Amino acid sequence: MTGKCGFGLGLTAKTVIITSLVTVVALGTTMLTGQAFTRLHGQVESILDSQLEQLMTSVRLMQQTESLISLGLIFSQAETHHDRRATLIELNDRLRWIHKLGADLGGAPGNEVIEQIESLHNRLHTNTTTLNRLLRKHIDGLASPDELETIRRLSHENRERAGEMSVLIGYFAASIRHDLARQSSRLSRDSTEQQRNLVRLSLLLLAVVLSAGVFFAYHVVGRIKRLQQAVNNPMVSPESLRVGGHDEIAALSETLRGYVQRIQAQEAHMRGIHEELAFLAEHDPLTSLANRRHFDAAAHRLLKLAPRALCLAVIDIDHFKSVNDLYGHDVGDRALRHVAQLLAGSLRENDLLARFGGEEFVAMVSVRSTQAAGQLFDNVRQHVMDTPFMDNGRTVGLTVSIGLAMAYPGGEEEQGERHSEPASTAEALLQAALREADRALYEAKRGGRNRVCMAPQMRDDDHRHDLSNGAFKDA
Amino acid sequence: MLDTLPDLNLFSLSCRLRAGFRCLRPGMLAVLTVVGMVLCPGALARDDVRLGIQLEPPALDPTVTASASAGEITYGNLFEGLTMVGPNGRLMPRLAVSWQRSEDGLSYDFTLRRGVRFHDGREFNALVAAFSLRRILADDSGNPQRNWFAKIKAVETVGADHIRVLLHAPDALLPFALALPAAVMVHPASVADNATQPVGTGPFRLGNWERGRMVSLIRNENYWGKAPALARADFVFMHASSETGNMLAEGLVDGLISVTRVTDRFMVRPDYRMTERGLESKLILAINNARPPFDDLRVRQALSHAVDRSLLRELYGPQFSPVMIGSHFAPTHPAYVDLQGRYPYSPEKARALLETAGVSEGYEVELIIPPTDYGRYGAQSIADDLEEIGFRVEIVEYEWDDWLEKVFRRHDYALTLILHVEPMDIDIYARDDYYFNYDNEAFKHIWSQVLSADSEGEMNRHLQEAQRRITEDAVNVFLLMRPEQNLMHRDLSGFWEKSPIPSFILEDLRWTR
Repeated sequence: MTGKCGFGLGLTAKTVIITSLVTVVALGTTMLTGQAFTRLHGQVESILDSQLEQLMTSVRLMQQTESLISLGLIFSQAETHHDRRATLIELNDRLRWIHKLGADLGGAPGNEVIEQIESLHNRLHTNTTTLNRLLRKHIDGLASPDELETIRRLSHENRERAGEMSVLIGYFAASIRHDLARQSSRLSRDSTEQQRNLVRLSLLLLAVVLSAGVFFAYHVVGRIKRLQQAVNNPMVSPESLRVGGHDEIAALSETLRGYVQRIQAQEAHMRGIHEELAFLAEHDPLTSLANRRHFDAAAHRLLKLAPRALCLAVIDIDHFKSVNDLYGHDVGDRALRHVAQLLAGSLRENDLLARFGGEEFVAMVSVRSTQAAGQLFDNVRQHVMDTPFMDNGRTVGLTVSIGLAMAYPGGEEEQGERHSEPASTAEALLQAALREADRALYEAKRGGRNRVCMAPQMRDDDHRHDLSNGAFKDA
Repeated sequence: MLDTLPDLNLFSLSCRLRAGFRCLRPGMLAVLTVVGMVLCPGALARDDVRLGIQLEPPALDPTVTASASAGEITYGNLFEGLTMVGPNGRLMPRLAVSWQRSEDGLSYDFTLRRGVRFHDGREFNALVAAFSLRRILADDSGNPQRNWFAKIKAVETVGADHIRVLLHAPDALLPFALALPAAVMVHPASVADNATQPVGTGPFRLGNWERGRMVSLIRNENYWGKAPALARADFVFMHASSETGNMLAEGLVDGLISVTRVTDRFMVRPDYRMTERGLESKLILAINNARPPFDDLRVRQALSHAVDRSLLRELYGPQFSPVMIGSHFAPTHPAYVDLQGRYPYSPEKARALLETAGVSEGYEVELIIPPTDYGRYGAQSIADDLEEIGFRVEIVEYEWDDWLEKVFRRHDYALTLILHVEPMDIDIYARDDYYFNYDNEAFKHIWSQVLSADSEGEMNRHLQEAQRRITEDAVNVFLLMRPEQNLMHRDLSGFWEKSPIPSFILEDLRWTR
């Protein structure tokens, strides 16, 4: 369908593009969000796994180290082996735990401090072993003054070392805490930034989705609706089916337009046939004049509506049979058409003219007076007589005899008193007029043909007039 | 055979914090909320556990080390035997689906489970089972429970999934012996590395052994049996008492395998509870019977009189009142003889015995302890008691490896305070070259009578005789039965409480909340 659109993109292509765009933006948003989460998660993980753990470890370590000071004091003051052993066990237990905790911190930044702590730990451990040996002698009363001095010195040193260790660990903990605070604020910044990014991406996604919606609403749904409205219109105009564009909808509208055009052409054709049939039903095929049926209907209407007097004329071609006999029916038919044309040409557009059959024509015209009617039809007669029928170089002279009868529509009552046959309906009026006109025609024939006779009742006096040669002839 | 302990929980804390962080993103768009919900589904349903244990075994292969902690970590979890003692304390099939004893009692036919594979994908079959049993019997096997299998004459394979064990003499206890950690099935292809990279058939496989810190077990997704609820279990080693206290206080472990002195105070915490275990752990002051002056019966008897056992009652804290013993025998056994009163506390009598034996005042002796709470705190009162009768005592704490090497293997010690956790292990007194250096023909004879007893009554009579014999010989100072309890998180369930095997079975363990 898009093939004929040249460079235009089809609806399918546009749908694919828009869907892809929405998908790409949605996927991008999801992926970026995922990445942001992974990064944030990684940071939290790092805080929890290393920093927080190290902070807790150093806090534990500090507690244990502080207990070393008091334990060291108790140890050096032990008076019995029981106290010495008990305190030694506690001391060694703590030193052991401190060693492990110190090792836990080993991988942390600030390794120098850890090394110092480790070295202090070793010193404490060695001193404690030495102290234990000397204390044992002291409790047994076997220690020399030098050894007693060593006990005092080592004991003092242990307290000092434990104190230093505690300070170092405190420093270590503080730096971890500092680090933690820094990481935490970075995390906070990062997460705020990620939030912003996410909002931006979501807005972009929203914009893309809305644009897609607008595109479909106007470009697709709107044009389809326009098409639908155009088709729904009782008078479908093919031009109104043009929706523009170069896509499937445009192609659909073209198809629809072609379809409507075809339907309309078909319709016109059908109407023509119908009109022709209607014409044939109401007209004489030979002369194309109205037939009797049409004449009757039209005459009824005229009789009902005409504001003035009407004149009914029955026109008969004189000696027509001899034309047929002499020249053949074809010539006869052409002669009939010739006369019909002359008659039609002599009458006004609004006048009724019909062929009643054979060589007889009937006309009904609106006239101002009987006189005017007589004059009109005499002119007709004259015109026919003056316009011979030319056929193959032959000139065939033709004349007509015309019988006239007057009818007075809408004024039957006032006129009726004067009529011998009161007519209460148009039909009656028509029939009466036809009878009268026939009689007048008869009179015209009998009077020698090529003349116009007015039915006697229609005249102003009681006589039919022969109107030929400028004067009525009485029927 | 020798001692063990607790467990931890930093990991779970981190998990919760992480989950909490993920869920706490106020002000985020609905998209994020959905993402968040996807990211932390059921964030509180844990499938990991951290268990504190005191002693780190020198090897993770219970067939080569006497350290019971090897079995506590691996038995039933990583390794499996042909039989097993179930959670209710009853013997049940494991890698053998059934067994039949011959009429004369001189052979057992075991039908093996099919479709079992080792963690490395190798198949378990009759050849592997026969290999595992023959390996125990080898002269140089170093298997700590080899004596249990002394009556085995030969092991034959009968088809792909049948083995026949031929005996020198009837042995009704063989199916039980096969349930010991030292009798687990191992594959010839992986056995050489089992000490550090154990490969078994169990529901868990080794994740990682971080020396000095912990052993991680990971769920074996190809396990032949029911998959355990836990995906991971960490056994965290707690070398110092202060460490145990710290770890428990901070909730860094979910439980502690076997109570210690420091666990007592944690019972006030609502998140911990005590769960029973079915062990028969005997605390003894072991004596090197070959080292003078302790090769003298009078000296050993003096030690038995010298120790004031009542002071040891509170070794596990005031909430526990351990059962005192007078021999190397659990009071729950029908053959138990109460010999507590044989050596009543009497420093005077002890001094007199020492004097008779010619032990001079101020004789120096080292009391060696393993790195355990009971060692540290139990040794103090024993040292005081020994000092009371004239010894000069120094308590020396050994690393567990050192203890196993110097004391247990090389017998280089005089006195040591130690816990024997294996059930019914009085046979150790009949072993040649055992670290007590008892090596007593009379006792060996008694033990042979125990083994060849025709009836339970007869066997029990000989067992009683055996108890009396070692008590009379004052081989060791028999102290007490350890209160068999674990300190565990309240929300953990599925413990094998009745199993007498020193083990901590994970397969039914799960979090209830």
